[in-house]
Amino acid sequence: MANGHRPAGDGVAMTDATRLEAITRRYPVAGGAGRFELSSTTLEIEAGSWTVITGPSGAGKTTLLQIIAGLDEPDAGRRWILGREVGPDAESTLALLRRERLGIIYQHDVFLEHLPVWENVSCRLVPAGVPARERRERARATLTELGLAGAADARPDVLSGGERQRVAVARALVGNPDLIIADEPTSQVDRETGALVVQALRRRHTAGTTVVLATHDPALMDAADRHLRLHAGGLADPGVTGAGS
Amino acid sequence: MLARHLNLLRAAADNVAARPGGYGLATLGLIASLTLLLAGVAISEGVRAEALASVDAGADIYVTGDAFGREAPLPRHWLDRFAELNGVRRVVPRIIGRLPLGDEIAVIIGVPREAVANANPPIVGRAPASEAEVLVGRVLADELGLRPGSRIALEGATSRVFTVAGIIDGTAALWSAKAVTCDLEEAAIVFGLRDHVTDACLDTRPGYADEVADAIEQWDEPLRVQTRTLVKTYVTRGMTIRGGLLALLCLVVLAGAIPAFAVTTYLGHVPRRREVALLKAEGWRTADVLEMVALENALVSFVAAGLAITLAWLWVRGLGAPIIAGFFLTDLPAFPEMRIPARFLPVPALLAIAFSLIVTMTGSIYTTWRTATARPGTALR
Repeated sequence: MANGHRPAGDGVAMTDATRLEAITRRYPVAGGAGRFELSSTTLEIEAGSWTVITGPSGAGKTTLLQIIAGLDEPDAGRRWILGREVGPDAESTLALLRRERLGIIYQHDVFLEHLPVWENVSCRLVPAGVPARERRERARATLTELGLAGAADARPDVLSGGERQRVAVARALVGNPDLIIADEPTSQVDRETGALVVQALRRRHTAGTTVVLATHDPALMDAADRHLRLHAGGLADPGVTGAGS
Repeated sequence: MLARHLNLLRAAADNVAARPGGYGLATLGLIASLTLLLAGVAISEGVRAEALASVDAGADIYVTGDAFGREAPLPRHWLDRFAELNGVRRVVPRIIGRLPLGDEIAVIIGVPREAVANANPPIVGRAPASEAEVLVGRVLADELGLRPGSRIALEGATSRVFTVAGIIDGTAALWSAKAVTCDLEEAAIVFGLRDHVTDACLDTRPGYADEVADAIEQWDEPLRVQTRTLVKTYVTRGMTIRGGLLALLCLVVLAGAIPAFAVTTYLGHVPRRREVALLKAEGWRTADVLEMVALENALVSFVAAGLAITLAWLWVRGLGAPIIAGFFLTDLPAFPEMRIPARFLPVPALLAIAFSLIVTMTGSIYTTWRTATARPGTALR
């Protein structure tokens, strides 16, 4: 879907940017509860940007990405995803956004292990009513882009770690998303696989897709036009503007 | 949006096929309980229908003696008075009792020989030609190794030896399965009922049954009168009690099956929760997840009910209802070699489908709802 301008909730013209305003979220960490807080700041991710989030373990990177992806709900604050304000009761809206406009690469490797790779890659197209033949073709095309054309009919459990990660990337890309959210997409793969993943993400970014990712991979950080650092439950980043500014 | 439903159906089928352990166990449990229920209902309905048919084919009025509020032998002198009543066409006296025969308990039915000829039951051999000959039911004949020409001794008040003229075929009414049908006077000798019979069967002209029954009751004598309608009520009540016991058993099974289904199908287990979380993260709505799980349940239900219907039919019709027939028909061996009356009606089959849907849907509703409405981020961490 092409990025464009959409009206915002308060009558303010807003682009397809993703915006978090005064967000607070408690989240579990080893040995207790962590707290992620942007209570006095507004974080805006421009459409078409490449944003990298870094920070130590437990700083809240995954929580922040999940809030951006609508997989988690903030305890307080307002959130716009691709220019659309999404409240806590917008389950259907969020589902539709994730299905049609978001691509998510998860921190942990999670698959429908009983289904072949092509069904895993195209699972978001099932409730959209896309026929099986078309789902298979679209999955195969995306897998080919990642060098996995031959694995379409295999089950995930017979693939290597690197192949599984590429399948996870293919799953995020199959719907041609406007926003890709990736949590450590190259942390558990070898250099060669990592390079393939970076290439795939860069191609989409070049085509206009917004990319937000948590990583410590220099190859992914180099491509960033914005770098957010999380520490102690907050943001330390010159790109974050104060609320209302 | 038919394509969406078809996609979800296919996803549901994949999920069921991918979990042969959980869903297989749940399906087997459902099949076992539904097969028992369907076979039981079929036999219950068959026995009820056959019993009612027998009542329809029998007498219009049955009269016995009454002593201290219980049935008692009927003095023979009443038989002529019954025959004189307006509307009575025929009076058939009977002596019915039980006697040990070999290792079995036989039902002895003493009736005038011409009554046997009138009934014209299916016989292997021939009808009795004299009072020294009897007919034997198929089950009794098989148990005791009797065939036409065999000799049997009935030992009651007096011992009498008879020759088996014929075997009442296995396709005859089940009431004759363990019967020895002999001449009325011989039965009177065996049971020592010189001046009595156990009951009298009265055939009346059409429309006279109630009038005749009222007339006998107005004599104010120690007689007990049962019209065909009353006998039908007793038969139906008896079968209803057995059917009720079976329904109670099924309720117990149902109560146990619901939590068992919830546990065996893994709907609340961590791997399944992560799968559902992944689907939601990929853009499935709660309604999509619920529909997919409902379709999984429906598939299991239809497969279980379909197989149960087939197995119940094979159990009853193909194998002769071993073991279960004895629940409805007393004195039957575990493996009866006679035709067991059974009726497979559409309503119990539909109820079986409904029963399995209730089990699967109720068993999964809580875990499914909890899984489907959870924040996907939590399960994916």
